[in-house]
Amino acid sequence: MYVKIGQTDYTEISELSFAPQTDVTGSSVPVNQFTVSVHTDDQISAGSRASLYDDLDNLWAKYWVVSAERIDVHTVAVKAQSAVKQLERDMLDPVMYDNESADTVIDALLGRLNGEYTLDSSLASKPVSGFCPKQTARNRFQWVCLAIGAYVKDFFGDELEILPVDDSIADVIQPSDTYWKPSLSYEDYVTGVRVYYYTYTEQEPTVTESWVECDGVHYVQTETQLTLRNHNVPENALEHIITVQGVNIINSSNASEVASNMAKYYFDRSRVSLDAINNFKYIPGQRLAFCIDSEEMRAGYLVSCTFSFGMQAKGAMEFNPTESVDSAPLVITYVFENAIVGTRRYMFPVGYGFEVENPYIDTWLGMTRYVLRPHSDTETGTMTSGGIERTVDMYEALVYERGELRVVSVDGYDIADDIMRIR
Amino acid sequence: MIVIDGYQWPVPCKIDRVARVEPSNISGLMLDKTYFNDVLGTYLEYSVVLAIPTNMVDQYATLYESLTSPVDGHTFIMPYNDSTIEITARVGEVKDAWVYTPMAKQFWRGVTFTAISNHPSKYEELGEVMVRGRKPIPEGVMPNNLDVGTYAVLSVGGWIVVSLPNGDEMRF
Repeated sequence: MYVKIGQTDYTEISELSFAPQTDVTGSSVPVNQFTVSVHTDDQISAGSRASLYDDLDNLWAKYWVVSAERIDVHTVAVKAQSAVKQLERDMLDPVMYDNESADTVIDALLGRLNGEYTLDSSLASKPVSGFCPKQTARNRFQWVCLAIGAYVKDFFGDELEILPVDDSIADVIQPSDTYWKPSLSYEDYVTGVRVYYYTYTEQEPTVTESWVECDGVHYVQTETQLTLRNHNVPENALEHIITVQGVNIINSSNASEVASNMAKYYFDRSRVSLDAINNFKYIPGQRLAFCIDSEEMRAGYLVSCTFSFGMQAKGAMEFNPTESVDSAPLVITYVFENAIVGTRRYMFPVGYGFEVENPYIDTWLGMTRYVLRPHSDTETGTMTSGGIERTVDMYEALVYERGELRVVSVDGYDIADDIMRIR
Repeated sequence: MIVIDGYQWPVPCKIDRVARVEPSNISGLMLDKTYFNDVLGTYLEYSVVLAIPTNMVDQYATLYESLTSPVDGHTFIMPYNDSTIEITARVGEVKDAWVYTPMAKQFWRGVTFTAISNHPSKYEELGEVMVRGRKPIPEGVMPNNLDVGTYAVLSVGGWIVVSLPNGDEMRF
């Protein structure tokens, strides 16, 4: 791991803390940060760019230094925060949106971040209508995300990303990558989600009408509620309704989508905490499948994950909500000269299109060591309810050792740029 | 014979050797009930007893002062298989005994210490550990005139030639 601050790479770092979060409902925009102790005599000042990289130069986070405190002669404690924090500085005047496209609205909000953001193309043309009062740019940005069904990812990339809530399973964490043992907990039932939505008509209000004023123009405001009931709670469950009220850009067009997104998140109240090997693969905001014991599989949104030093990074992950999914095993047996030289077992949701890499098998048969590279780099397919068994018995390169390793059989080879590739 | 901080000790000695294959703190039991062993590397630990003759009192005292210095480590050249290995190692404990005889002869003897290498003598390259259990056969550099069947070694860095049947010069 190393940190680039300004144009300088600092490789002597310690005490790294980085646990990015995201809110897949879009109802909040967390300000993510990392803290790290940098061993240097340099003067590090707030306001510098700070980027966190792993040893393979993958960018984990690109934030701004908000504090740099010298904690001893050669060490500076640095705290860097996401550009989202910058949005809190700007107080915006009231505005009445009238079917403006999301890309225009968001560009006006995030243009102040030197243009460092990307908006998913599926969200760009979503309309934004309604009234926004005097508020901070961060608050307005949060409203817009909620209204268009987006969430914000401000880690593992150069730019702040605005993405649609995606309920498809992005990846599967295998039991072999999951530490013993995940914990499953349940929170109080949510019996319903209620969303208030608004309409605005430009006219002078009567005494009893509610109204807003924007640029000297009066608009009559009407408020309507939409409630989705959760039918999967016991009849005697205490009433517990999650309410979204006062977000005035929720209107009749987007209210049901907002309610539906909230319901996806709140109607299933199971939360899973687990530790897993995470080599830059599982990212908050994704919906992932994982096992909570050696057989039972669940799927849920990864809402936060810790990251640490090293390439085999152990991440503490929080999933919320989660639900059971049907799963089945993929068992791959590696056979060579009528002997089983390796077995791999994976779990996948039924219907999931899997692709797993065939490892090379390094094994001994008798007094001979073999290194076997399967003919096919990967095994692919779609998981079925009964599970899938595969046998691999064709290998491209065989190498064995009698004092030295020897290529004994290859189909051919080619050489380019002094690199030999064996077929 | 061992060398400590550049000084070769021509005295009888007994050396115990332990190689520790150190796991990282993320090693542990996984959900599929296998143990994930994330190996940092192999660290050597030597336990040394030196039989320094009583007529080398000054050298003995110098060695004792050196070994008990509060420093990160010392350089040692230690026996290793049929050769030697140079390591930088920390000394955790130094023991010896004071001997007094009725003829009023007194001396320290039997200095014993443990040297634990600060750096792994063996470790996997970064690319190798990146994807646990899914190591690809690495690409490597081979001579341009390679024929199928040529002797080759699969090493950490890739394929390297160790000998050629036609006696061609090896290139890496």
